Amino acid sequence: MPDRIVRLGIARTYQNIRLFPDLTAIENVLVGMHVHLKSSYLGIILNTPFVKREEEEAEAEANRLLKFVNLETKANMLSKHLPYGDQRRLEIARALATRPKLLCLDEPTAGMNSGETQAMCDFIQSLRDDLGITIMLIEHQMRVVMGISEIITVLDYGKKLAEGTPDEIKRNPKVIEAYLGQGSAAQAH
Amino acid sequence: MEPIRAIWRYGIKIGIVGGIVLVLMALIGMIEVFTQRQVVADIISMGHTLYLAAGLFICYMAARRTTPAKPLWVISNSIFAGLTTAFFLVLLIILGRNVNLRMMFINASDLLLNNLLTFGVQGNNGLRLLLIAGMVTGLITGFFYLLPKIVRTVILWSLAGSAFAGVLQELIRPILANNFPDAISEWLLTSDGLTVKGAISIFIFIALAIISWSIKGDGIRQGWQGLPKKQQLTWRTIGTITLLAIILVAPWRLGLFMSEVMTIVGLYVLLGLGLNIVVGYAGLLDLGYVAFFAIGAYVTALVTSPEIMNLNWSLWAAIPFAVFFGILAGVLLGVPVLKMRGDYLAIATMGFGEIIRLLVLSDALRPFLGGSQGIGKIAKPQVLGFVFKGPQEIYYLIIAGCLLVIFVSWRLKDSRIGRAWKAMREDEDVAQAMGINLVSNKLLAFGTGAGFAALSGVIFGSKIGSIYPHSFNIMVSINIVCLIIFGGIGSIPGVIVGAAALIGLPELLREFAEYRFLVYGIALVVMMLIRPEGLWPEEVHKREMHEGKANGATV
Repeated sequence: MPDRIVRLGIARTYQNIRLFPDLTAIENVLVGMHVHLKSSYLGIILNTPFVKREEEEAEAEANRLLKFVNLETKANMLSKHLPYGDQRRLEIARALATRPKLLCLDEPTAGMNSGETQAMCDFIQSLRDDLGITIMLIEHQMRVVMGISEIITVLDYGKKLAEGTPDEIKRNPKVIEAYLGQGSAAQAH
Repeated sequence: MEPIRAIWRYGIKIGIVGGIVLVLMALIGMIEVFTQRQVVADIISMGHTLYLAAGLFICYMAARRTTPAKPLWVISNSIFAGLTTAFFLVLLIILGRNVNLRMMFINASDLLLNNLLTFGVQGNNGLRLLLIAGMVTGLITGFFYLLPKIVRTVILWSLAGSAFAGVLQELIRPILANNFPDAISEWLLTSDGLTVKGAISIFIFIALAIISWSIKGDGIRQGWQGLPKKQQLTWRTIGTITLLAIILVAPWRLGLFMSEVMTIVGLYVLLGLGLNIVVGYAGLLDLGYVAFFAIGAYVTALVTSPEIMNLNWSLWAAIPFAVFFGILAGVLLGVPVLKMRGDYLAIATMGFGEIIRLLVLSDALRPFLGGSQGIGKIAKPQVLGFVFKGPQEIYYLIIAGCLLVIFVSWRLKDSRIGRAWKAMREDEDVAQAMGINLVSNKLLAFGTGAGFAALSGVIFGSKIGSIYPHSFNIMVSINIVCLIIFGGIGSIPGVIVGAAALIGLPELLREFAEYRFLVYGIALVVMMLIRPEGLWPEEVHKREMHEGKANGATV
């Protein structure tokens, strides 16, 4: 069950952005925080002090996350009306709201130009540096893969081909053969 | 495109469509039935109002479609639209004279064809009059379209207001009779329809109101926004208290008939708010919703009526019991349909609704549920000897129920649970991937909605005193879905407005009864075309639109 996986500390984003389009940006983030909120049904209806405090804290936390992804001014916009890049960052903010230990990003730079791609790479780097979470990235753009990865795993038709640091992968003949063809592997040597 | 064709092509195109629509309206008997009610006494009936309004609308559409919008072309197209429409009606009348249309269309009476459609003029003069009327309508509409927007708005709303006042005279009459001096009532109304001076004074009144609002409105709005938060809150509280006071005294100032209408609307508000949680918040299209209404009513009947189980509980004891059973049924229905989405869910729940109805109707269960004869002698609520017997008393019970349900909906809406529901509505897979447990949240939505419906069922059963299976057919579910969509999906005030418009208005206009579903259909189609978000949409959408615009302007 995917909802139990989230509770274990693994969150993800989607290659084709999948926000909740008719919810506002802040609501999207608050949905991500769902697993950490404990208000009960009855408590919500009676609006107990606990529920009130929890909602206030959740909102503050959501605003902090929006600020972290530079969306604090757009908190009340419907997410479907946000520009593409904002939607990508909002999706990451929503995933972060689940307080993951491992964050999986599925092609976070899909459909971006080189400037936006660079900005996204810096942003991903800052995720690790500022929040100290592990990031797993699925990506085929070499500039992104080589630029920010510590360990790369190369897959070929679903089978693991190689694993190592960017430098090792760059020199790995199997990888070169699989992705650039046999002749290129010979040339590289 | 050659310019010469632009003079008539739009008009004829729209005129053909409009002509066919008007012919159909006449053939199904709508115009004839509506003629029985006067809007302005002895001058114009409701049927003719509808007839003329349709004509004006057709010409207006033609004028709007005209490109390029040169004044002369607009007018000519509008005239052509009126003429084409009239031509279709003339054809119908000629056809009716030579062929016996009543073989197929029982409503195509002589009276309709040779009197009503031609404004009372008979023979060939009537046909000529009809064509001239078409042209004149087109001409007037064409000129009207060319007027500045503010003038158009004023005229349109004032006309619509007068027509509405005439149509809704049964609502206005008791209000005037019970609360204002007789002179006003005599000035405005006759025994059937408005007086001429009444119609004109309503027209002028609305026109003045719109004009003064358009001049002063912005100033007032800015003044309001300039007020400090605290003062705004005070004024809001005063407003709410006044509204509440009006609601509380309403049944005694409006009389029995209006109280009856309001109780029916109230029951549908309860049902609508319940289904709003299931459909509007959680996005689960439930077409068997009437089942929970039935369960609430039947549980109440069983425990309070002396007829079958002879338990004779008081209604107060029955309420929590029935609501509990409603919630239980909601959860039990939820379990098998957990994995279903969209259309499949709608069909499965629809089946559930029918199963419940057929169960209570069945002969096998007659000793336990009363079968087609239903269950009678359901208890009325009592407090210290005071019995809630008529609609004017039951009304308070319904208001209390509505307030409770509104309160619960409002608290849930922006809570952790409400957000989980909305996330499921938007994208079930992603909601699950964000840690939302679909099973518990779906069952929670089904249970809450069913509980509200059961509460409505309790009050319904107690109000009419005896219940029958046929009160719980699928059209109830469909009506509720319609009123939610009409009012604005997911919006609490939208449900109230939708119930008032789709349930209350037809009760006031009994002529509509026969064409109720036709009118529903048209209303929904028109709504989806011009205002898909509903009459009173959710606050977020409005707020967001404004911010969106503001941001767009600065970028």
